[in-house]
Amino acid sequence: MIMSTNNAKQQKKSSDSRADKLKFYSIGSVVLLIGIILLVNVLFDGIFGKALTFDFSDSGQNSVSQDSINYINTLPADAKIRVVGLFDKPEQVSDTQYQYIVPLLDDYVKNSNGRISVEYINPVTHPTIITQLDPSNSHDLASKNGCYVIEYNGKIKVVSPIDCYSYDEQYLYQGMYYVIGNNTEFTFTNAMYVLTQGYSCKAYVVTGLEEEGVEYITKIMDSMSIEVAELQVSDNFVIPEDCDILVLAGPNTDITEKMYVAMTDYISNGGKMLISVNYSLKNVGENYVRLNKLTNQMNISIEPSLISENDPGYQRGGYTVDSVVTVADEFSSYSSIRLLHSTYARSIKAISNPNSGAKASPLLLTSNNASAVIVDQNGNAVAGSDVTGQFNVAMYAANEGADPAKMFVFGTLNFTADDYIGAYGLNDSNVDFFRSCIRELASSKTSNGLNIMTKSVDNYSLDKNMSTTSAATAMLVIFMIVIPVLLIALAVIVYTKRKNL
Amino acid sequence: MYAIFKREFLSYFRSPVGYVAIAIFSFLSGFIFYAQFSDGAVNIGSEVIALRSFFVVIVPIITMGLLSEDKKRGTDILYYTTPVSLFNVVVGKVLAAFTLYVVMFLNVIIHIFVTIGFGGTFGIGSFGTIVVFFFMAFMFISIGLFASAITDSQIISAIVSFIIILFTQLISQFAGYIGTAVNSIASSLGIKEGLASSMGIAIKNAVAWLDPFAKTQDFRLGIFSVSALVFLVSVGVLFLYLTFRVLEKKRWSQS
Amino acid sequence: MIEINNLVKRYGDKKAVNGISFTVNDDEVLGFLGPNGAGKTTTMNIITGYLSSTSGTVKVNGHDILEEPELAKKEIGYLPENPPLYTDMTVSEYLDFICDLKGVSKEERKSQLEKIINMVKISDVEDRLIANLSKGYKQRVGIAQALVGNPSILILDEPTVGLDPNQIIEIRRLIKNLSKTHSIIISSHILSEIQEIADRVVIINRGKIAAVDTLTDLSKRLSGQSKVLLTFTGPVKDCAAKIRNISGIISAVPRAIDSKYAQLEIAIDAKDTAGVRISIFNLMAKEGWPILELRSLDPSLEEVFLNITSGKGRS
Repeated sequence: MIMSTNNAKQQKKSSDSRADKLKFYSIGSVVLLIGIILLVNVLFDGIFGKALTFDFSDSGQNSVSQDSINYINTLPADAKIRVVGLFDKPEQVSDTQYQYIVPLLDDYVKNSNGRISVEYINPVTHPTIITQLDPSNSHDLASKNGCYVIEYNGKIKVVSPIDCYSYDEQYLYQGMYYVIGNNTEFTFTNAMYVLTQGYSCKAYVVTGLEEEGVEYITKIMDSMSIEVAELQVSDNFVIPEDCDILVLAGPNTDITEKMYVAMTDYISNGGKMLISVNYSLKNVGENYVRLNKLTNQMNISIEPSLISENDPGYQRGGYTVDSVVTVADEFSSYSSIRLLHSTYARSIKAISNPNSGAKASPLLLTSNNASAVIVDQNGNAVAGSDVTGQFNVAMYAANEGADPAKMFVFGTLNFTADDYIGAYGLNDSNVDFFRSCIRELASSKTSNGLNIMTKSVDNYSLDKNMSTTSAATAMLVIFMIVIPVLLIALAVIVYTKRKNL
Repeated sequence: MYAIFKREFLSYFRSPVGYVAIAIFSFLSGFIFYAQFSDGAVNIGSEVIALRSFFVVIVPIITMGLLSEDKKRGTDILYYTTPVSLFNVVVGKVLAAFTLYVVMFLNVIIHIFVTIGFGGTFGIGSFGTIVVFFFMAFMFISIGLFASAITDSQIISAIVSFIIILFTQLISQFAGYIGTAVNSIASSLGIKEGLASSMGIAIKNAVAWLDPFAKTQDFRLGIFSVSALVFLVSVGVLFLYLTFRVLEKKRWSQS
Repeated sequence: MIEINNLVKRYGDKKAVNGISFTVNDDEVLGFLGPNGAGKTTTMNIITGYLSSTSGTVKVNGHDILEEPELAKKEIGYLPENPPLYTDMTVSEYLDFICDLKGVSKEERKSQLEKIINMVKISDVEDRLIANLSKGYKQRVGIAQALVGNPSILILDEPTVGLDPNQIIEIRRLIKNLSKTHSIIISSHILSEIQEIADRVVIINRGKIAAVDTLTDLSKRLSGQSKVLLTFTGPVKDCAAKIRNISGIISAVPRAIDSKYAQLEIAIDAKDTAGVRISIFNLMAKEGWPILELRSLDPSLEEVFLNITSGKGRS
């Protein structure tokens, strides 16, 4: 019985050879096609993948720029820079903080002729990596999970992914800052540069005066191969011997008496200082009496008044306190463009102090039709305080002689604050101008460093004057209501019309 | 091929389907555009990327009837008994659905012009996302067409393509689960710990390799990878060929 | 001309078509007869290239349907049992699509469509949606579809099924017209339908050819007698006896008697059925047995098959 049904089946199968042939051909061709497709894809992915990937982005996000390549080529052929990521290599970098970093590091390796290597070693699974990189444990690498360590000749530098971007810190979007600039190459190349070339001078940044954040200027000076350290306000405040540049960026309270004494001493010994303050609601009641006494020694006065730009040609977006300022002719070489950006500026005035031989000159100027207004605690102008004319937003003063004292005083924080630099990126002209000022202070001591650009993560902002709320409402109405409703109406018309044909 | 293309494309507009699909797309893209616009910054790239997540809804709508309706009406017999080749039928149908997508995409083109008009930017990265969008549309439409070929019910076809597209969108997550599952199965079968976990990782990587979204993520940065596009095209072609074979099967199938 | 040689189509264990061979000559109407499930549709699907055969060949004007499908298909216009109509299109949109599909050139299209539309008489519904047409019109649109592209051969699968009598007559007339210029294979499971139009008949049963013949030959085979059913009030046995005496009556068998009515199944010699029926009427009138119904009992196709296959038909 079983035998016979088997036979019948066999017979059935063999007898329909045409269908079997077609079936075989059909299935066979599908299998063959899948094979070919897999092969082609593996081939493209594995072998041609890199070669057939083209970086068309305006700023070459994932490609190392010529500046970095030139620098790498100046290194001796046997130089070994080791980049170690203290984590497992992420498989998926999209939408993570590594999305620009991992591909760029691969490009470094590609362009380094073996001088640079990139590894990913997770200290959780390989704890020895920490002592291997940092035997003295001075960098506390155990707490630096997710960071990169760059090692050269036993010296290391730690780079956090957060260092690789600039953020718009004024604009919090879904609990995150908007990334507006990609500084990955800037950060890595400069870290390598500093490790291989060493620092040329040292800057101290004063902290502890409720200042507005000094992260970016630290980064910028570091990239100029200036070693940067913080100098905390304390009861025994001393300016260290090795201080080449002292930066006081955006304090919201006045300096202490002790600091005043120390800084006066520093200036009189040919010290170099950069000071920036502004006039905001946080410090409207602060007259910086002691700081003023300090700057007075260089013939500069920080005034307790807000600069209000009346010339519409200078205003930005129609705001009187957000304006363009011109670079004084004398300093035109500091910036490629003459119009820089100033917000909530305090007026900086030249005075003539009979005890000082310093020459003070305007650095940044308003239009001829600006006013300086005294503002009360609530932000209202004090009646009768309004004075009209041209004002300085920043000044520079220097003594005569060899290695004289030099001082920059900015009445706006747009050249030093994290808020601003974060929002406008490291390529901003204000940042460029800041660099020039630091170069002036460091003068011969600093090499030119490298000039790696921030790669702009595209800025998609619309023109603020045009993208008003009413325009947005119009978009809502047109794109979400009018067009869909018209289409639905069309659907109904076509349907009813054709239904009855 | 032209005959099929013309009929299918026009039939979208002879019935409410085409209008409704475009209306849905307009509404969704309009919403994304408006949300960005009201924030003062419009990135067409992220709009297009967001729109990709609606493939799962729109593709089944426009592909569900392409072949299943033919079977139900009995009109598929025309493809077999007139001098057109079945492969041309398949290609014509895909082209019709694809062209409908192009028409839908006019919404985004309008958004681009509005964005530029309002002082915004349309960069190479946004262009990259659009390129990917269309390659993906082709791939998903092929998948949808295949789902339409294997049944004579529009609903079943829509559900099948919905599930396949949903799977591709979640493939990275699934890869993780599958990898873990393989690992635990392997170790429960008595395979050594190290080997089991590397098996799990290998399977996970193999599945994750199929993820079309991960492959094309760099386009929005302006980085164009030919191999990613080759992948999308080849998956699309594979499903076209499978569809063709499913149709062809009717000739020789013995059941 | 279509040459069909030893065609076999298998579905699993079942042979839907089992070794069919026949030829359709030019400008001939071939009736393709068989009960439901006999394999008519399968055979037609194979001829038109919809299905591939398990073995055997089909040659359409010399082109093998498997080897040169496109050339072969060009010669055939096919109307399947369910006309392949896109119900969401209007008639003219639909015919335009069919022209595209069959590659009718733009120049020819207008005159060809005009001719077809007039021939099948659908000019008054040209702009109507196919879904809204009556069954008869749908069938005509289906025929129009088959005519597009000027095929020399038409294959019509049950073209009159589901139509009302008027529509059947219309369609039949149309097919007759078409037969002047086309070879036609027309399938049906109703003998009378074929009788009027077909030159020759192929009868298949269970996938095999039961008979190939011209119509006259076929009727001869079936001939010998024709049956009527007589319903009346009166004594059955007496009546039967008297009717048997009428010349030309072969037999008269009583059937289904109840208190009120009587029924006789009467077999009549086919030569003069009309005269015999008059004699029956006269007899019944004379005897005073009122005739309630006199109905013809023509053999069903199934009976024909039984007759043909068992050889009982030959008298």
